[in-house]
Amino acid sequence: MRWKNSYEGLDALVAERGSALLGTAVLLTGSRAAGEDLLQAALERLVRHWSRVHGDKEGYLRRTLYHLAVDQWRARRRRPEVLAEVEPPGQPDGTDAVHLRHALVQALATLPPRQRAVLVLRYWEQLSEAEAAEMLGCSVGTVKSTASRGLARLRELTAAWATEDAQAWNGAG
Amino acid sequence: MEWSWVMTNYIEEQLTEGMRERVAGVALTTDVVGPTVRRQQRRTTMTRTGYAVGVVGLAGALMAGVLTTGGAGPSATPGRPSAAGAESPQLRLAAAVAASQGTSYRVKNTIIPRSQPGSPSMVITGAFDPATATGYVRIAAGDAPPWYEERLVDGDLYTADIAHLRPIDQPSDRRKPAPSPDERVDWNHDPDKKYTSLSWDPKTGVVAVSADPQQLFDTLTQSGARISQTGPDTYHFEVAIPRRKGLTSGNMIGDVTVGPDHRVAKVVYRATLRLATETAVLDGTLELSDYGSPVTVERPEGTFEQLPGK
Repeated sequence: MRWKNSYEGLDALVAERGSALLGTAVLLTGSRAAGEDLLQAALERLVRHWSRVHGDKEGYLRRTLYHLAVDQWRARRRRPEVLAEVEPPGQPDGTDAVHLRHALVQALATLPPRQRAVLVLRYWEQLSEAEAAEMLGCSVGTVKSTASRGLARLRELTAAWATEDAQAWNGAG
Repeated sequence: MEWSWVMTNYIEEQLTEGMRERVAGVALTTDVVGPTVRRQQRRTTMTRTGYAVGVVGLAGALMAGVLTTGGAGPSATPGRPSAAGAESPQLRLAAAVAASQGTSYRVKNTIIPRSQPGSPSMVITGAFDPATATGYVRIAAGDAPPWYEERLVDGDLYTADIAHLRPIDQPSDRRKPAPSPDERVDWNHDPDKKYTSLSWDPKTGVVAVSADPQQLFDTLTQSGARISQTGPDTYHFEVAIPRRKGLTSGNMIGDVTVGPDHRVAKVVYRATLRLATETAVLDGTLELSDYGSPVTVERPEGTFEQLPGK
């Protein structure tokens, strides 16, 4: 096909890295469907700028994913916030560690996109603060403060779960 | 250990592990490349063929006609409306075209590519003031929100691809209102460059909405035209479109209406373009208005991206 000549390497890039990129997109958006949409949007951007992106195409695609995710946050600032309910984990038993982490990742999806993006970069991609700052095009200080606020919010949520949990135990006793 | 203690003291580790568990098994199973590339190709083709015969193409074609049939003459001084009593239809139309240049204007150009399946319309709206190097251009498919926009403010150019701004977390809900123009955030801007007109990436093969008139003269004197007057303020024209990269031949046939201010008010035309791989037929309606009015454009807010490698 004609377009394969124009976008040489795109098929291979998506075949090799598409699933990993989709995983990142899912974490950035909070759902599979939204993650696919984000990845599609980033791909469209890459294709549009294909001839001007020299060298690391995957790097451009990954960076675009993060920028689009954060841009969505900017776009939604002017709209009413819709806060999702995060189900607290169940009572402690032999399987609750997995449920806890599931609830924690659910809670991650309720954070503002910039906080979410920083936490994904730091704790999923395992980037340093400087690398995360470079990816997002902001200062290291911004990454530090944003990560700190994001983690603090997650701790608040888990503390609230603990309170609910204790009340549930007391009520049961 | 109590889990609340774990979460407080080891939340980073739990978060990392939780993310791993969340994306385990997530695999890309749908073809995302094909649709993306096809969309881009449709967009490029439509833009290349449609926009190339848009504002400048048309103005240039008209100018070519008047130039090759006797020259512009003193009455064609830009910005100076001419008397309607010039000797020939060519000169009278030349005066109107020249009077339409060098001043601010508002423009709407609706292009329907008849040769494309479904004939999806493209609407280009804009305004430009050459004196202040300020203006904007937006391109949209039909009544949909624009998918491309340029703003020029005192010579500073901002461009935006806005196709992705569909709300990412609500991909299937088409009832939601589209993002307003203020919500566009992926603007490109090079602070080191100044522009005298709205621009268009030359790699796409299209031309600017408000290019330097001298370039039009240079380009368009190569073609001939037949112009006849069909009413007090209306002219019929048939003109060849000069060859350019990607365009082997082409012609444009249409009618021009000159307004009471002796400037071009409306042009209805059909363009036939023979490209390397296809023949495109486009019907267009170009409306020009508000000559001489101030043009005010706000600088956009948002992210100004510098592409890698630039």
